[in-house]
This record gives sequence, structure tokens and C-alpha cells, in this order.
Amino acid sequence: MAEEQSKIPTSKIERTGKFMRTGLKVGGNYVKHYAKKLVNKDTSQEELDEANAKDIYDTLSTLKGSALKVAQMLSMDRGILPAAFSNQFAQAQHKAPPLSGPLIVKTFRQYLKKSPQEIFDTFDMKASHAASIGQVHQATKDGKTLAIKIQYPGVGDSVISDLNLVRPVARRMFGWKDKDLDIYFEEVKARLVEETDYQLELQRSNEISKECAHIPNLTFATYYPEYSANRIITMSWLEGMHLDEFLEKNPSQEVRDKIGQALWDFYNFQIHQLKKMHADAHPGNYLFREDGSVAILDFGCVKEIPTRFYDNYFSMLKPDILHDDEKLRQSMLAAQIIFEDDSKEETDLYMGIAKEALNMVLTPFHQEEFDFSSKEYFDQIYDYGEKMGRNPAVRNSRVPRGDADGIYLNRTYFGLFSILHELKAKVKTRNYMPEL
Amino acid sequence: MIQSIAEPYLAYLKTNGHRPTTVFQFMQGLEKEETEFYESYNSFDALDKAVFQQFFDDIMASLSADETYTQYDAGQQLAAVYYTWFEKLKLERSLVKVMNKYDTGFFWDTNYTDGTEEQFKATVKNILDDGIDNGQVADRWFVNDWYPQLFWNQARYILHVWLHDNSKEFSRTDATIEKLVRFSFDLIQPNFIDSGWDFTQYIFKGK
Repeated sequence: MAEEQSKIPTSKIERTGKFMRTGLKVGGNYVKHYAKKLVNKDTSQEELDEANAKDIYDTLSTLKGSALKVAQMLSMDRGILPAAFSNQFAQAQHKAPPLSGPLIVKTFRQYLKKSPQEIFDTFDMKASHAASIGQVHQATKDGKTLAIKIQYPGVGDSVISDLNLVRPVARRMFGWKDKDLDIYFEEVKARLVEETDYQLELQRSNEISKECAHIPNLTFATYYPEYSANRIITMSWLEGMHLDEFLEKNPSQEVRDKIGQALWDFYNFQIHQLKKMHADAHPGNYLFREDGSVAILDFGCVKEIPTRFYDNYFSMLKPDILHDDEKLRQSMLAAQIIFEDDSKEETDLYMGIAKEALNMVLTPFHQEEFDFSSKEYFDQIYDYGEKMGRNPAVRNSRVPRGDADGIYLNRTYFGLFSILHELKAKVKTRNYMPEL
Repeated sequence: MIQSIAEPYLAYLKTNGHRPTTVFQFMQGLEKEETEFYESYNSFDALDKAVFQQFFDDIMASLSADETYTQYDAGQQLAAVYYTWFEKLKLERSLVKVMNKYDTGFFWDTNYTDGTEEQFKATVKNILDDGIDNGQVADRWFVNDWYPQLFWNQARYILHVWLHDNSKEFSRTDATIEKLVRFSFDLIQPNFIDSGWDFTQYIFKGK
């Protein structure tokens, strides 16, 4: 068995592994650096003592799996870890050793009553790559190549226990009460638990891929419910390259733009028309092709956007709001970024922050076409993130601010923007969007 | 196994959650003589043992006929034994839970797993011997003989986990098997222990 395991990593999985390790290292170093910075910049601030910052760093660097994901998401929302680095954390998902052959056979027997060899014409017992909470195998049947995703046993339980692990960390990082934390935790927990439900994933994959089928240059897998179950999903095998691989091939600007546009349209259509979206916009979930099309993988994490939240969130995207303080105040009240009982200083502080943030975030939306290769634009975003993280008033806010429903939307926008930036794509931003 | 006695007995255990009060009462229910019971089994303990042993014999029979199983390496074979065994036990979970109630936990008392022990150890020995032959398991003459006993303890531990497993679809048991088998085979495959032993010998002989 030992031999089998050391051999499972094929070139692709090895690369992913390496990629993940570097990601972790960068993230880890950054946390270290940042924790130091936290201390130095704020020695004058009585609110944050050195021990506290060290604690934050120590705990953050020991987190794994879903706990890390949550910490990362929360801190991104708070601007505590600048987004560029917290995205690296996202790579460090559930890392488990590959499933043994007997367990794969057992899982198939348990759910589909047959061994994989009986169901498929060929079935590769060696995993071709790791998925976030499972692994993917290649198989063929009736001349079709299939991808079969198998979930690790016990993942559902570990998600919950991982989450409990992050609670004390979050409490210390933000100094919130349990009650306030709950709002965010319930949201993240709901998504993570959903991710372990392959039946739900199958259903959503089918729905969203059908509804988005008309968008040009997007490809989705065909799903096979008859060979899927609670911990198994069978779909058609999609060809394509991962982002880093794709960029190495130096695709032409035209191809980059086509792909960028497809991704942009995909999200715009989901957010504004379907009101639910593929909420895991990290580069591993897309396969890029040189003909300018992109394949979408993994509908494990889908966020449904409540109408109330949608109206609020996007009312802030109207250009005139920046010049109308009263309107902005109303929107922020509704979005729970400021509260009626806030002091004047607090209100002013968050209004100021919001204006700056909106000004920045809105830039792409306020132009017909936006060039995501702009380095200045992204530097501005990263700087802003750092500035927020350093701002003690924001970091030590007495209550959590911002709607829990926003966590995944913010993360998705950030992920999408980063990918478009890497692609250096020019995108027409108004497709499938209501008039602002 | 004597079906005419075993079947009504198992049905009784599953419905009532405990053993019949006496052998006499049980055989009376079957309208049979008590002595007929003793012709085959000397006590309920012995019957439990025979039934539990039958489960293991059944799965081993189906595994050895399975072509995929024979192609597995040593670690995978043991994992396959565990998975198949506990799938089988899952079908009789209520029964095993009742049987387990009468397990005192003291090694001098007999219990329902006793009959399986020999067969299990023999299976493990087979797997390990093959493993030693093709280099997947380190040949450590001074501990090799202990391996079957250690793996039997492992099996008892997994049984314990499974009996108390309240996770969805017993996924905790699956994860336990997966991780324990991997860990134990990491220990018994040729590794630093062997090179360390080799080196130690070299140092002392070189004096």
C-alpha cells in the first residue's frame, strides 16, 4: 500500500501539491511578517498588545483545512489579511492522503451496489488529481471519458469540528462576542456543509450549467446521476489547462479577452439573473483552452443571493451614491455596516471607508469596457486592504459590520477580479446587468 | 452452524435486545428438549462465537474469490478485509450490538469475537508473509510473530469504534480503517527502523 501511495501523485497532482505548498509558504511568511507589523505599527495603540498579535499569528499558522478557509474568509472581509495573500490560503484546502483502492471499491459498492470495474469499461484506480474534499478518477464507458469524484469519508464531520477550532481564533482576532460571531459562522458553516453533499452539488451543477448554457465560450460537464450518489459524482471529462499552465503558453490577447469575457458574463448572469452563483472563484476551478473557451468545474459551493441583500448590495453600486451622503448612509444602515446607535465618529469613519472602497470597486462597472491588466488598479486594491488591516478602529470594531450574505459575494468578486488580472483580459462589464 | 437453533436464537436477540433467560426457556419456545441445544453448543456464548465467526468466514470466502483482491498489495488486502467485514457486520448491526453487551472486556472471559480471532490472525499472517516475500513488509524476525496479535488488537479497536460510531453512514469507521491501516503499514514496511538496526549492528560488530 505504501508503494501505491507514494506513486499516486501523477505529474499533475504533484504540481498541484507543489503549488499548494508554495501558496502555504507565501501565506505563512506573510502572516509572520504581518503579525510583526501589527505589533510594530500599533505599539502606541493600547488596544493591541504584543502577546495578542503573537497569539493571532501562532493560531493562524496552525490552522488547517476548512478552519483555515474560514479564518481566511473572515479576515478578508475585515481587511485583516490583505486579499492577495488570503487567496493563497484558499489553496490549502482539505489535504488528505489519497483513498486506498479497497475504500474506493467499498464506496461504490455501498452506494451503487457495484464495483467501479463492473460499472465502467475502464476505471483508473489511481487518482488523476485531488479535489477539495475528495479525489478525481478517470474512467471510460461506451467510448466516453468520464471524471469520477469520490469524497473522503468523514469529511462532513471534520468540517464541523474544524469550524469549532476557528472560533476562539476569530474571537481573539476580532475581539467579538460569540453571539456576533455566530452570524458569520452560520453562513460559512452552511456553505461548507453543503459542499459535502454531492447530491445537492449534482442537482445544482445540472441547473446552473443548463441555465448558463447560452453564454458563449463557456463549457460545462455533462453529469450522470445514475452513476452518482452521496459521495460519488460522475461527469464527463473536460479537457483544458490550469491557469498557470495556460499562461505559460502565451495565449494571444484575443483569446485572453474571450475567456475573460466568458467568465465575467458567467458571474454577471448568475448574480443578476439567477440570483445564485458558483461561489468558489479560485483558479483551480476553471480549465482554460487555447481556442478561447473556459470550462467550469465544481459547483460544490453555491451561494443563493437573497433579494433583500441583493437590492441593498447593488444599490451601493449606483454611481450617484458617492455624491449623496444621505443615500449612502441609508444603504449602509441597511447593509449593517453602520448602525443607528453608532457614534458620529464611527459613522464618519465607515462612511469615509465606504466611499473610498466603492470608488475603487466601482471603477470597472462604471465603464463600458475595463482593462483588468491595470497594475495600478490592483495595487490600489491591495493597498487599501492593507490600510484597512492596519486601521485599529476598524480592526477593533465593537460589532461585526457587513452582512453575512456578503462574505461569499465579496470573495467571489475578489477571486474573479484576481483571475481576470492574471489573464490581463479586457472585459465589457455591462452584459447581463440591470442598468445602474 | 445449526440453522434450526441459530436462526430463532438470532431473531430473539434482535427483537428483544437480550438473550433468553435460560437455555431451557429458549428451547421450550422451540418445542425442543434442552439437551438438543447442548449437542451443538455448550452455551449462548458458544453460539454467539460461532455466528460471529461465520460472518468472517463468509467474507473471506468471497474475498479470496475476488480477482481485484488477489491483485492488491498487502496493505490494500488488509483494508479490503476490514471494509468487507464491517460492511457485512453492518447488515447485522443490531445483533452485534446485543452480542457486545455480553462482552465483559476481561481477557480471561470468553466473548463473541474469540472464535474469529484464530481465523483473522491466520489471514493476517498470510497477507504479511506474502508482503515479506515481495518486499512490502520488512522481515523483522524478532517481532514478526507478534504482528498477527497486534493486528487483532487493531481489529478489536475498529470494532469498538464501529459499535460506538454515530457518524452519518458510519464514515468515522471508514476513516479509522483508512488511517489505521496506512499508519500500521508505514510502520511495518522497510523503513528507518531497519536501517537503524542495521547500523547499530554494524557499530557493535565493528568494535
